[in-house]
Amino acid sequence: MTLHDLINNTDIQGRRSFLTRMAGSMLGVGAAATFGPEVVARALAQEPAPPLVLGRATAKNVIYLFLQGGMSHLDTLDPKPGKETQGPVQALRTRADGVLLGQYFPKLAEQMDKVCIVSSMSSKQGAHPQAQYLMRTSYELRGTIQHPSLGAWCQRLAGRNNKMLPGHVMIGGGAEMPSAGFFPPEFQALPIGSAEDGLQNAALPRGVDNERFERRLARLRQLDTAFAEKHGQRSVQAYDKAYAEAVRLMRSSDLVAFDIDLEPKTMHQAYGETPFGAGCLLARRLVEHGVRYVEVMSDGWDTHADNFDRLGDLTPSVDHGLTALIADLDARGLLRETLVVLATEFGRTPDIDGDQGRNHYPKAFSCLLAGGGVRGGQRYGSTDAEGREVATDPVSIQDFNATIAHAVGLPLDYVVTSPSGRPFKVADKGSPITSIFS
Amino acid sequence: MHNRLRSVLVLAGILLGLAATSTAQDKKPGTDPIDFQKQVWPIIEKTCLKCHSTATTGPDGKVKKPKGGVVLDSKQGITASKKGKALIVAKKPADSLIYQAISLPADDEDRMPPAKEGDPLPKEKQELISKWIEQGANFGSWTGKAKEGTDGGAEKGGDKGGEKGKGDKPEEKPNDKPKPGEKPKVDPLVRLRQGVKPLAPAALAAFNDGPFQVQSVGEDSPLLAVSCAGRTDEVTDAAVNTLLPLAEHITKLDLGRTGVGDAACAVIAKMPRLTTLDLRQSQVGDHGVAALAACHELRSLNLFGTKTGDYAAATLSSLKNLEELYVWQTDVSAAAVVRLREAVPSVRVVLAAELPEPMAETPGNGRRRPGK
Repeated sequence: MTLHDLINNTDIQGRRSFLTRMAGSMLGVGAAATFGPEVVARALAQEPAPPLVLGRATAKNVIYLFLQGGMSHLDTLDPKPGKETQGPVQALRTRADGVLLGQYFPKLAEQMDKVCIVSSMSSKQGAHPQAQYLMRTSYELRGTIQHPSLGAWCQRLAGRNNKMLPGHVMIGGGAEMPSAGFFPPEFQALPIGSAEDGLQNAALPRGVDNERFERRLARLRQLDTAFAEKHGQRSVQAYDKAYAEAVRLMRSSDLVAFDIDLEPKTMHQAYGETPFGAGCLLARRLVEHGVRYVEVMSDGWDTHADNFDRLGDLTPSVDHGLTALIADLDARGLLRETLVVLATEFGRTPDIDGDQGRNHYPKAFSCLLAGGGVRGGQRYGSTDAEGREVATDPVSIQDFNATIAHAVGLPLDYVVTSPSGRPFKVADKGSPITSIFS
Repeated sequence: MHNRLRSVLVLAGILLGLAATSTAQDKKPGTDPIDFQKQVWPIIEKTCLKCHSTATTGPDGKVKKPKGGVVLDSKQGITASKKGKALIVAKKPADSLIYQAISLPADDEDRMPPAKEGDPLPKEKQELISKWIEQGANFGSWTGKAKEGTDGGAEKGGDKGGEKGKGDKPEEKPNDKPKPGEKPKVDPLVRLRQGVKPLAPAALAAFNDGPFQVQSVGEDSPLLAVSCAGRTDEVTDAAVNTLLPLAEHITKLDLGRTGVGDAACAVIAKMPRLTTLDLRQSQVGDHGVAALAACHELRSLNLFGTKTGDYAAATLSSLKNLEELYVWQTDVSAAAVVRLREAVPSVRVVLAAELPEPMAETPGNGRRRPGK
């Protein structure tokens, strides 16, 4: 397949947004080899390294697992055994003394000594798009601006670990979510529609050898040069960079990072052989190769009806994928430098309605952190006896994101000004929960 | 938020108030460098610690938490932030929450120490602290209490009443995290940076074109973290040799998935401040690992997927600071791990991954494609 096909054959994005994303996520080293120094010089002139001092990072990488729709806190991470609000769900003892889990997470219970549950999450945003946006950017959704996601902030403030690979990869959806926001397009995430399929169209097509490929690239350059000179906008340069990066990646020995077929069968089984499990396995491979920020999406958690049966169907993929990810990273010595996050946009109502359902509940919900310097086997914050209100140590969404940023060593006070001239910070006014780090 | 600010101020106030009665030398803050331990710490100790000490568990089992989560008995606590605002901003007293709190007017409700705890700190004590911050807030060798104890808010509170005695239903118990008997743990990176001069930017810039990524470990530390920036296939024994000029500064070295072998370990052995070494899936073998016995500061060693065996494990028994050793997918045996643990009780050895069993049956909705 050709580069042309690479651009054409994407079923996830429109051709243009795909290019933009490719450009964004792959910008960096390698452009000089293909496009000559002037393109690189232009790019560098535009993006001077910000004068910032990073804090002491406890994590090099972040794997951010996002459960779209709103996971019920009572049935999963914050059980209230014996209370009416708990419904039919049993609580499980875990390997961490005194930390309970809902019955849907039996595998995770065995790795709880490496996990910190944050039980006192609270926000005021109870609608899906707005709450997801807030969770991923720390800012309210507005019509006039697109805020950058936390992954984009990480790229911008801390840079890439592996300059040959994109710095931010989003697996299994999330294309509609904010990514680079108002940052330049090179901070867009690279989207991978399906982890099983990996990165598509990265090999040369049959009948095209290296020499022919070079000729095609030279012709492309010829055609583009005049246009690029005439229209020196950033978006035009972003296209140049996308091509350069894509070519670089096609030739990189790191391309294997995207191929989970290289993993043994036993590893696939441990991760659970679901799309989410495959996403977690791919995330592990990417982090191993130095991709700094990987997101894996899981949809369908909006359990307005039949909450308990639906959770029975939804949770095994997460229980397996997350647990295998933690255990696998740990055994490879990577959990110490990789922060694993399980997040969702809000919790679900403690009261169970007539359809055996639970509805949106941002007032109190739970997320989870593991590795990356976070002390395992603990629960931070708590809700009241029935899981209705935060009882101790409330954590706002901004505080939670500040905690992730703190782990990566990002300066929380560093201000980036949007094109419209307004100041923004990585986690808005959030402050990190420093006490959960060991 | 306001309450927390208030507590910070109270803390600061206490800090200052005590200063008045403290034994600190009443030196006028001039141009002489201020000695934190001799001049500032006594003020803090007497004025602030009543409310702003590391959480402790009393004899009654009750956890006494620091007010507002502000802990002033350790360097880590004093340099922490409160709601995103640093208690201390080096060289900028006006931006430092502590100084703000102690310098508020006596009738301000946010002043530290709070009115009910004591009088405002006398002006000269305030100035001493201001001066100390202005001079860069240097702690000298002082680090204070164990890092582990500073988790002001980490303990579980919450509603446990009514849960007790519920048959054999599992119950949440509070974590007794801060153990009073534990040995204070000093952050090795803080200790190791003492006396190390930062390298000139030019010396570091020379590495920009090579396969290594050379960075400060953060917070303006002269110590360095070195990794491969993804160019693992270019990192050979010869490339590692080029790191020798940085040997005194490197504290973290990531050579994972590179082609380096035993020869590189001879170079690594010349890095006296190395605390973290990642050699996973490299070509290093037993003899290379044996050379690492010279790296006495080593805390974490990753040998995952290397051709190492029991000989390597045995040679590590002289590394008394070792905390983590990863030997999954090597030839290291369980018996060798047992012997190593006897020699180095502090070490956690990971010999295998605790992966979950395969799923019993494939769940229905769980197989749905995410995002659809």
